[in-house]
Amino acid sequence: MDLEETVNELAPRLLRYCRGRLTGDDAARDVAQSALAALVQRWRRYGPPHSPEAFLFGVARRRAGRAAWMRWRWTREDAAADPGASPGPALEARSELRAVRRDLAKLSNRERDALLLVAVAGLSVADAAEALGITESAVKMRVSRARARLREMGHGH
Amino acid sequence: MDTEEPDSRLRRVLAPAPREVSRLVAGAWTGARPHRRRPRLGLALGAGAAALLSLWALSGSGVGPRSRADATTDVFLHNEGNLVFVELRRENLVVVRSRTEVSSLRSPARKLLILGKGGE
Repeated sequence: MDLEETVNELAPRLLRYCRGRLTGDDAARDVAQSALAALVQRWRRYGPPHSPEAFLFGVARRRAGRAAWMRWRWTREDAAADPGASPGPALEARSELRAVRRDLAKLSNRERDALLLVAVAGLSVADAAEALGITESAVKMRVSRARARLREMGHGH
Repeated sequence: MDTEEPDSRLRRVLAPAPREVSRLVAGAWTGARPHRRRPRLGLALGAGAAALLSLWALSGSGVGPRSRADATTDVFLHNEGNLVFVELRRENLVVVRSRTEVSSLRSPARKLLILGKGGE
């Protein structure tokens, strides 16, 4: 297992997870960066963890939780940075991102975390269970509930 | 009605720009952060308190060294090896001219300023 390959492979998935987990892009980038740096540090010091994915997303999940306490700041900055002056596809993508985040915010923390890890970050159920510190069947149940709730909100069929 | 499955919609909408990903990967090796750090409230308060304390000490309201200096002299000198140190007391400064003056040093806790080599 190579550290560089692992970082390259996990980085986009991590950022995707953080963008769904936090309401501001700056906060998401910040959490993703610190989690990735933690993985690199851990790897260099003690060798690769048992499951790099579970380690990385476990760190990111905890740090995102702490950052969420500062949500009022992120929210305020996100609103201030809203590119209302730039019309076109960028604006549409931005408003769709906001809509998705709004819907994710309606899920419970547990459901949202499980869904983001499995469906967005692409973790296996076993890795997600390790990152969340719960059983695999609990992960499956939370993901299933989250999907059902999103469908009710208009995502999907 | 949106016919896209929840998972694929989430993955598409939350997908970061390639530029963001490469910045993240680059930062992983250096430990750098992709954007400025926000100043934390505690840090700002600490810095403010330190600045106020510094102003207070510089204005002559400090305790400790000042009271002892007032009783004797404003400057203590100290020679360690070939370096000459001056302990400052308020704005006054005395230049060391001999070891006799150096030996008059009595303060164990010194705020030292390196004047230069020699000192005799």
